[in-house]
Amino acid sequence: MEQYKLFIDGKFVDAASGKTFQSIDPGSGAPIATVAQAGKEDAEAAIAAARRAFDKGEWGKMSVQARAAKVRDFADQVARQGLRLAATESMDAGQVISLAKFMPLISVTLLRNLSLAAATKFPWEEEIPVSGNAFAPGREYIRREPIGVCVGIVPWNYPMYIAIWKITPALCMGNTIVLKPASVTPLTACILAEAAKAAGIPDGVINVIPGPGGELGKVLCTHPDVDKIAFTGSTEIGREIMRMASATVKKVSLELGGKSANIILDDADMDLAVEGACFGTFFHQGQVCSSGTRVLVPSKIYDQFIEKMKKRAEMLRVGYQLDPTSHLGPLVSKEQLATVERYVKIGKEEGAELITGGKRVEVPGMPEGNYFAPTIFANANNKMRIAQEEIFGPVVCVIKYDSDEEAVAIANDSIYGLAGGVFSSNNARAQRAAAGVRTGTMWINNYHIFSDFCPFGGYKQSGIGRDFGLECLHEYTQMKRIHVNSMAHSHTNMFFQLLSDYKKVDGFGYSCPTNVVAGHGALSSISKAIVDLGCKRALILTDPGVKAAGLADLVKNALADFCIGVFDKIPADPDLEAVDAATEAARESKADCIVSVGGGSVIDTAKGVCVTLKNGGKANDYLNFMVLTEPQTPHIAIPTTSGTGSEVTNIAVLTSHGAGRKLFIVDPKIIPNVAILDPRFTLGLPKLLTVTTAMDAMTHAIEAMTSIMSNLICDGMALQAIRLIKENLLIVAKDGNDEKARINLQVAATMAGWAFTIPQVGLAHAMAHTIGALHHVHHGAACGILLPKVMRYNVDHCADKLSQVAQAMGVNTAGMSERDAALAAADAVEALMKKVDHPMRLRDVGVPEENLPICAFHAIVDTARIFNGRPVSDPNEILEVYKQAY
Amino acid sequence: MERTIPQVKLESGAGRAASQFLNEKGINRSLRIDLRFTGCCDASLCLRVDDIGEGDLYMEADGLTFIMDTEVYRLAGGVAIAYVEEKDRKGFLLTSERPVSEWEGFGVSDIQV
Repeated sequence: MEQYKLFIDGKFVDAASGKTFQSIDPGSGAPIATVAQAGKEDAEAAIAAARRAFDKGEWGKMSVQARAAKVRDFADQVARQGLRLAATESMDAGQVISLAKFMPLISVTLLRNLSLAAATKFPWEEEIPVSGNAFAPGREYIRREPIGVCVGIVPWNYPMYIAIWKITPALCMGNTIVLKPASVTPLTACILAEAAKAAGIPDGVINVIPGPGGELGKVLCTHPDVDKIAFTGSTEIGREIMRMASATVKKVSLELGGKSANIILDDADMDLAVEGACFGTFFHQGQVCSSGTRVLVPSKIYDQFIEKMKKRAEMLRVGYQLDPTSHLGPLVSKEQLATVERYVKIGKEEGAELITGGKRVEVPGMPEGNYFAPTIFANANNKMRIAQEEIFGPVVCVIKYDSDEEAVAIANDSIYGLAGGVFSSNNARAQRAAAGVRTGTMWINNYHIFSDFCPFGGYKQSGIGRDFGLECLHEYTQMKRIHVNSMAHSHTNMFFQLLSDYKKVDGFGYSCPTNVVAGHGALSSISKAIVDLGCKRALILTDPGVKAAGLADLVKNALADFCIGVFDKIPADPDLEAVDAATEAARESKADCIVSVGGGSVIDTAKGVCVTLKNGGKANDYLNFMVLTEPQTPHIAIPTTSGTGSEVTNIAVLTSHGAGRKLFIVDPKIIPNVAILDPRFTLGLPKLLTVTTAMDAMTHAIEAMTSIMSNLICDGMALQAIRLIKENLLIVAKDGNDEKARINLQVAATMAGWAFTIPQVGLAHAMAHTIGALHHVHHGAACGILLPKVMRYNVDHCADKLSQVAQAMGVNTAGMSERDAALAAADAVEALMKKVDHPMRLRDVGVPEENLPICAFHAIVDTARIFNGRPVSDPNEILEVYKQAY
Repeated sequence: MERTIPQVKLESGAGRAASQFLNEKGINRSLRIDLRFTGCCDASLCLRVDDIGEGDLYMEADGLTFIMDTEVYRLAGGVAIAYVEEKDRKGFLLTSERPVSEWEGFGVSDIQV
């Protein structure tokens, strides 16, 4: 009789206790081998060896390719042992030889396929192009690493193949493993250990310890040096393993029981369905966790089906497993035979109709064999124990149903959810049924098909995790996220500054890629711009006022054949629905380019349209910060005001009725491709709108400079914008047709847009957003009224910048302190506003004084406040500024 | 025909826990020591509320009546019933003279109704 030892740390050893046990041939009842019986001490030694091999050995540190090559060497050794493995598997586990002969082959293919996949397809490192955190720029990537010491606990139905299920991913992903085979079928695992040794798998990487589950399980599942447990077995044991593993929070994957439904639809090919039902149940004596032991058959074909299935079951030959003519071999053990008999008795007591089988089979010359006849219970109902509890023998219940929906409901009426089948001549109908069943696998017009790259595992109490495929490789890795800060200095880190008094963010990235064409007649450049963008179908978006002023027609004529239409329904303060309506128009007209003609509302709407048109869905899907990864629908912006700078910025402000406020898309991918600044588009702008939009631009420029994220490039843009506004606004206020001053204001607004698109804005905007939302005050007017007050509020934090503003505003700061110069800047802004008849107080624009406190509470949570040069966290301070502006 | 089971050993607290369970449910029936299968390999012993049937063995202990199918008794032999009540583990733990699986004594179970 053959003798097998434990395999620990690369050595074949006796059990520390010296104990052995016999493995029995279930077909003959004869002992076929003596096996060392591992105990607690051996389990601890195996875990220690696996730990050493993982922590200090070469396995986990090898390149993935080198490790895959070693796994292929192991596969070669398995192939060399193929005949021995097949014969031993058959004798030890009772698999008929016609099945067992495939086990080495499919084990080799699994080893080869998954090792290659691990080396070539598995995402060991994965970049995260968009982190979702706009305030901490940097490279973000995922690195997957081995877990460590894995324990594989293998059942007795497929002792070799399921051992390979556990060993293969563990090894391919750089882990080490302690394998505990089932005590009734330990032999092929021991032969696999020999194959590993012959392949040169490093010592300790694979350890095999046959022994009693109850004793070894406690050690394996509680030992602090074990990192993962992969178990295939019963739900009762799996639950206990999970509980034990929880004490040290081990990773656990469990493939547990099943009571799968095999649904025969009324249009199924009858012969195929009968074969599928018999194969799904009687294959390997029904000792398969995915067995379709509840066959669901429509009432109208039930009798015919039962008759055919009975006939087919009675044709199956039960015999010794090494006899190549046997269809079914023995059950694995006396205990399993007793269990199956017990359930047959229960089925009869429950009132199911036993139509065939239900008894032991005597195989000539094998009186001690555990043979049982294929057994069918007809007229079973799904509440019976034989329909709810897994039997793990060649026993099937055939249950009637009257509709597809009822069949799916019966299939789902189980604590399990491992597998199932649907037989139908209509794939669409079968797929609908398959989709409705809550299981991890559904086969259509087939059964028991396992494939190396197709995941297998359970819903509900059938387990967690998956075997096979890239999914199982993931199960044997840890995921590590690595963040590489783009600005490695404490003064560039907004989060570190939460614990610091230094609030300025130094360091910056600058990318403002809009192609600007400016000057009288610049509109003519639009057709070339369209061609350069690779577009042919431009849709003009505008508002009714601009359309009525004839400006949209100017653009339409300039576009000539490229224009496919004009959508002129964009309202002031656009909401998400406005974007969706415009997007729908763009979709219907098959637009490939958006031309926005208008103020900030139109251009911001167009930005939303470009995103929604490109990515599908609705505008609400994209309200977020820096999540877009690709260029959006091309956008040409033609501003008709000199204020928002939206033609060059990365922000779109849109009203969300769901959120009850204005929200944003902030993303460099929404910056328009082209901005055309043609003074003809602002010549007709009324004086009040001219001065209020100009003060919006002024506020952009000054708040960009006083932002905690201000930078030298943007400061330069801002100062030039301030100068241009200061020098030209008064001219335009007096003579709206002064083209030179108009173009200068347009450029100023664009430069102010560039100035704030990186640093963002500050408290004046936060407060103006609130006034606009609650009291419908024009945004530019609100900004203008609040700006000088906020400049004074910020003076002790931004005096250096504000003193530069003073100079840009023409203040002679010679002899002034920086602080006085800063205060003079605020005075100069107010003086300019007065000269151009800009509203000076909130009361002038209809804000009720009693509402100022609520405005303060809204403003404190506005995003723009975050960037203000002076940290502001107290709504009372904001209220004070509101009062000053009142 | 009713016969006595020679060996059912109730560990400390097991009888009280079983009685309490039955009382709480208002059940006045026997407890069957039964084989059950909870999926993919290895049956286990459990307690199930049931009535005595033909060929069943029975025994009374701690005011409870235990019954057992003859074949199950022949397979498992005498049975010890313990009750485990730990922080995160509560239930009956059945072990037998001839273990019905290598995992016997590993997991606990509730009384099946």
